[in-house]
Amino acid sequence: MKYVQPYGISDPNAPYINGDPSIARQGSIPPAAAFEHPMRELVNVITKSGITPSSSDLAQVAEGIRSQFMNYCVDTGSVNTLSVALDPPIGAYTFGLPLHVMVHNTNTGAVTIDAGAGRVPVRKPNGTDLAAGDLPAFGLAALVYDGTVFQMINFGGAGGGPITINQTIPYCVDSSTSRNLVTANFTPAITTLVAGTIFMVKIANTSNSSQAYINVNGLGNKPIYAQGCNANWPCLPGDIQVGDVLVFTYDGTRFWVYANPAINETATLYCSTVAQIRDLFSALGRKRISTSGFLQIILAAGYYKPPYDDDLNIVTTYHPDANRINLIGTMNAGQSPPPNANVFSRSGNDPVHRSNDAMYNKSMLESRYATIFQLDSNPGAAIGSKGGGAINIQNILVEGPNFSVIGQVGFSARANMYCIGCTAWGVGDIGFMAYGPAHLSCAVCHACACASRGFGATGSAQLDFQGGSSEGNASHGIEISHGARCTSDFTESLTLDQGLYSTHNGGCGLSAQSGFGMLWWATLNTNGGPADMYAWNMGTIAERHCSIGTVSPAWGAEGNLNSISINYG
Amino acid sequence: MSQNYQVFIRSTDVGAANPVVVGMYPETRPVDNDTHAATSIYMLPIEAIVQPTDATGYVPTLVDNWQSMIIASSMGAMHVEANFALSAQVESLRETVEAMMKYGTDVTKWPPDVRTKKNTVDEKWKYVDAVKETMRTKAGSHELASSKSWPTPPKQ
Repeated sequence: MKYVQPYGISDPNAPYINGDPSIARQGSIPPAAAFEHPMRELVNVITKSGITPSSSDLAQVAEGIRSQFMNYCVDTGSVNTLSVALDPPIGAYTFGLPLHVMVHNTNTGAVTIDAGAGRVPVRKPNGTDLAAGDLPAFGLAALVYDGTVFQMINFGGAGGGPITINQTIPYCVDSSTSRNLVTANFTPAITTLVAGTIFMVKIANTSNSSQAYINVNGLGNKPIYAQGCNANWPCLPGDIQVGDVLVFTYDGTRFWVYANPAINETATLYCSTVAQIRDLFSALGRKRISTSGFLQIILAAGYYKPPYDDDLNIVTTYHPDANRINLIGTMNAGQSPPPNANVFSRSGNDPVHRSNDAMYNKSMLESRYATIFQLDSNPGAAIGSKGGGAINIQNILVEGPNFSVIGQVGFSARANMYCIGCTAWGVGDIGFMAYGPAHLSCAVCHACACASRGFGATGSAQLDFQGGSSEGNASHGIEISHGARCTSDFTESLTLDQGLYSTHNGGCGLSAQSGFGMLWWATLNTNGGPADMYAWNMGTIAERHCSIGTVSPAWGAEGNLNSISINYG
Repeated sequence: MSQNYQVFIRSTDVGAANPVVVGMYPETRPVDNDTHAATSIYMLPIEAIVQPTDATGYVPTLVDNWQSMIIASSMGAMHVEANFALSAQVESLRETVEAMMKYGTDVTKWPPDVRTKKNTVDEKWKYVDAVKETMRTKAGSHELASSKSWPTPPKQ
């Protein structure tokens, strides 16, 4: 719009003057354009701002300017090539020209724009081209012309603030009917897997019992790894359970999930090396075993040897729900653990006879057991329980070096442990040992030819026997000391044949030094120590339904420091 | 104050340096000599006992030179008690006094049966004297560990 000078005045820049009769001055005559042109300019501002002009609203120009509607435009171009049309059209780009562009396509690289005055680049405030995704579809880009290019002033990268994007993750329901396999068919189909691919699957049909795989839209089985796993145990039973909705993340080789933390059904795992057993208990650290779950760990036939771990065990067992775990060895074909003492050679309690018996018994035991832990000449234990519940150890033979190694133990219960059909032979110190406050239960377990004691309990520990035997050990068959206690077959309805045997040991059958030993249905005889059943230093020994050769102190008598023996008949 | 114990060791271990303690009872507790078969009994102070360790095979044993620690007076009393109990001693004194009051101090005039009984008791008193002499002369000696060092008891 041009300036409109008073009517009849040639000077295009002449001012308007008022008329004054007192001095006989004529006022300026306004031409029609002086009224029309400003009104049209203002009405254009209002209408181009998307507002309908109204005589009842005299703030419409302000409202139009505030709305910035004239700078808003919708992209009609293609990917990376923005095209917008403004009203009124732009004839030339000027410094500071702002545009608010609704982008139609997500960019995949550098971007240009034509806003009516030619195509120019869109760049970041630092002058670099946009990267893929910087302009998301249906996002609003705020662009300002700097004389050469349009700068994207709401860029969310290094020059801007964080961007929140609400993205729907692909989801489908598992259609597999095979255990340990997840079949995920997405619509639209996922046609390729690349590192970083992420999706969710609702497990519908099966729970895994061992290593699980996923097949995505027929692209082939990929292994499923649980966060926190290790190489030997990438996936544990119950990691994927019916009804779970799991997020799967692909790393280029395998899918990772945050697995279900519970084992809810009976599962069986197989180990054949010490490393596998150790890694399994490590991996189990992320699992709980519910009341409906149980875990059986089957150890293959073979020898399991040191080195010892930090707890000085070949294998340390630890799990909060260890009482729902069975660690089971393998027996030779058709064989079972020794049922009682009668299958052992027991010819005498002196070193020569014990040595001869030991050789026969080793051969006898190796003909039965196929899973054998072999200790070396260093202190340590074959299997040590650290808690939390009482783990079940079954059908395992521990062989020691058959000479003295102080501090060497076959089965070490520093927390509760339940041994079934296990045997310790030739261990350097003690075959089975319970340390306070652990509770070690031994069902049909045997200790033979150990370099000191067959079974031991100390420091408030408790040792229970159901049958079993201890024979040919260099010192006591059983030693209960320093506040510990032991019992055996606590019932009225057995026979001696079914009970515990502690015979032919170099020391006593049972020694209670400051401990309490109460035996039922036990046979203690032919031991080389001061007595078959011996109490010392406030120790207490008691028996019912037993067959005991010699006893000290005498039944019903009090020995040194209140040590006593009680015969319940 | 040291506590003394009646210690039973295997008779075959009497000459051993560190015999295993088969049984051990407080000095004042009555314990039959045959409580543990094939054993010998000694009165020893607690210091004569070695607590069980791996070196002792996890059983208590006696210290080196344990024989020199045998308490001679208690051992003597034990021998006397076993052969001429205190109650028998008092009874013999009562019977002797009664015989003297009844038959006079000349023993040759006592009836034969009373005189025979007096001779039997005299043998026991001689045994007591002999035990006392052994206690006095062999206190602190290893010989006390051997039953041969003690007087032969009179026939009962």
